[in-house]
Amino acid sequence: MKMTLRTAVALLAATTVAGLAGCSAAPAPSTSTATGASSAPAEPVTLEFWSFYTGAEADFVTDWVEQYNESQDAVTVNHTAVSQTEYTTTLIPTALANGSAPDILYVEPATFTKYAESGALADLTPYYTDALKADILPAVLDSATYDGTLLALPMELETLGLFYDEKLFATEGIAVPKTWDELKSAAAKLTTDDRYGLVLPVEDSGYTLFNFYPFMWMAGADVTDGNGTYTVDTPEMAEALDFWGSFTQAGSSPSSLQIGPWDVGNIANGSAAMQESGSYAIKATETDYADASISAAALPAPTGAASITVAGGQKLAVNAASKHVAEAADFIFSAFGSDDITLASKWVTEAKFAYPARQSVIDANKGVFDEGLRANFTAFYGTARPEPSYPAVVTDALRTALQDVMFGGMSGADAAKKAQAAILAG
Amino acid sequence: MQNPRVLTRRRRESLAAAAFLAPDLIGLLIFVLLPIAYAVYVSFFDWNLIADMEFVGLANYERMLTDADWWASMARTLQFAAMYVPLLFVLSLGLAVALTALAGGTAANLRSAYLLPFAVTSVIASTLWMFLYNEKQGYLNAVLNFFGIPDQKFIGSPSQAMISIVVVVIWTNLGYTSMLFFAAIKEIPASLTEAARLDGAGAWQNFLRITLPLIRPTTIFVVVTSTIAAFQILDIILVMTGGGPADATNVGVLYIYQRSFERLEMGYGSALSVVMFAILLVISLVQLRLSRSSNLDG
Repeated sequence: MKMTLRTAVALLAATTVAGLAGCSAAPAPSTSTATGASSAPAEPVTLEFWSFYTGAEADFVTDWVEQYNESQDAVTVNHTAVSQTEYTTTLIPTALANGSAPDILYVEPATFTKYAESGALADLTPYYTDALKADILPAVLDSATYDGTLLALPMELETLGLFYDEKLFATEGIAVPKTWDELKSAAAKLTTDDRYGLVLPVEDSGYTLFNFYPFMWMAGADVTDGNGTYTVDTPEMAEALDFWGSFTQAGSSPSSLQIGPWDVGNIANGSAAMQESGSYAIKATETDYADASISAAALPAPTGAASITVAGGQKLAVNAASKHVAEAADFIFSAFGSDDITLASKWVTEAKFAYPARQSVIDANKGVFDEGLRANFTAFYGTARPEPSYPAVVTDALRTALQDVMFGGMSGADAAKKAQAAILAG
Repeated sequence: MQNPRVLTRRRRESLAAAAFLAPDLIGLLIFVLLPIAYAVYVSFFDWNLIADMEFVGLANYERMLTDADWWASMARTLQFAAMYVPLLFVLSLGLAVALTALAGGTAANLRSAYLLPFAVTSVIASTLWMFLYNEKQGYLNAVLNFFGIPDQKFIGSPSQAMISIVVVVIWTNLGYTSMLFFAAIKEIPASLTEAARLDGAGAWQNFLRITLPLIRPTTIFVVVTSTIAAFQILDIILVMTGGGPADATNVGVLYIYQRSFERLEMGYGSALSVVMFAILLVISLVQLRLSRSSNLDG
């Protein structure tokens, strides 16, 4: 009995680590057969492809895969739907570790650098035609490049703007803010016992940092000189951090959120007057929240400065460990890198609303981008800068700085200094 | 002289027992012991999950010694455990005693009611409590406002977030733990309490001298398992605060998760896991030893 109890406790304690350690060893829920298949040209090739979309976006992916499979006999794409949360956290890293990762990968700026640094992404440069390179917006093409090599294919651009309750602004006689001072003033005036003036993301997450980038740039701050040196301890960064933290400190922004910080339901349900969110919220605004009077404008800028927004979005890449890189590249380029822009157009106009990464797709769908709330976003599309892709140590330091100014009672200057120390410490 | 028929039966019983235990033991080996061994192995490497592993010896453990963020997260784990374990113990034991005193259908209905939160998944429980904690539209602040107390930020406040999480975890587990105590109290022979009452013992003395000593095995089980659970807390924190605000709820397991999967530092994350495991093992063994010696003293 003595040993049994002790052993039982030891095993109970062991499960603490087992859950964590198990993550590194457990196979991902793949049905993959592709990576183990022969690369002999005569044999049929099966490509594994995992996506994490729902609704119309999932329908698009299903149709795309079916069309591709029907269009030829040499390659079969085996599509599996997975959870987005798992995909962006543990699923892909563990699958890459145990060799069961799909042939085709989605990457975003937060994961692009990590995977590129690790050599997990195949070189797609040979599959880019000169015409395609010229068609993709230069800054976006740059964001898919690592060490001079094209490692991903951009499929969309999602920009940020200021959503607001149009009726409320009219009732209160407040003009839509264009400057930082006006935004602060409007947020304070529109804050009541039941409503926040402005919803900003609050979590220590990459999404919060994504929302901060435009304000960082508008204050004149940047993080890198492009030569591998990361400098955040600057007066400009301090100013941006102070501005970001001022809303939570003043009580005009919430310190916790019931629904997602991207969901403009915060405005629709009356718990917020304004919210920073992205072009991805337009579809919900026009459908789920059609009864609410939600409009959108460019993000306010410091007095005398120009408004800037950030453009994020997913890119497609090919697993460097895939035995069928050429086939996988052909599949992704068939939709988003082809002269036939039907699918590329459908993705950004029907499956979801986003801006395309290619000028030809923009030109072919001009009408769509000038309809309703889309027109508001199109008006400041030209101010977008691609979401940067920094090493994890830099993004972690910036994320902590945002928490420090929002909740830690820290000044922007102190938070920037602390972030710089964290970056230097690695 | 041994009876061969008995031996045969014993052997048969042993074989049957082994057959019943084998699946569980094999599962334990594959899904618990091997991953632990692998975590120990990985902890000696620098590994980002994708590139080749590079042997670094004890470097990950040396790094841990000077990692202030790790020790801060462990301090928060201790803070959580120091609030959660005693509160859960006292509340669930108190509830079990109260339920024992009640008779009939009321007690049965109350037991079911208290057990209900245990059937709710942690994500649902977290979401429900986020409604209650909502600063401007939540019910808790409405109640506080009724008594003239101003709005509280709860999970949005660095000083209130941890206790707010503790409340949710206790709400989830109170019914189950009180059932364990309830069952243990019911096992106490009525003759003992009767005899104590005849000797003039009051309710409090009866509880201290009869109930508490006789439910000691359950007490040990509850304290050990709730301590382990406190060190493992992750899911509710991930949903409700993500470790914030300003790292106020960034506990040890969450820090390990961040290092392993956000920073892709699996070698370092494994080293932290091994240390966490060692700490838990020591705590569990100390608790067992203390309870055993206390049993012997008694």
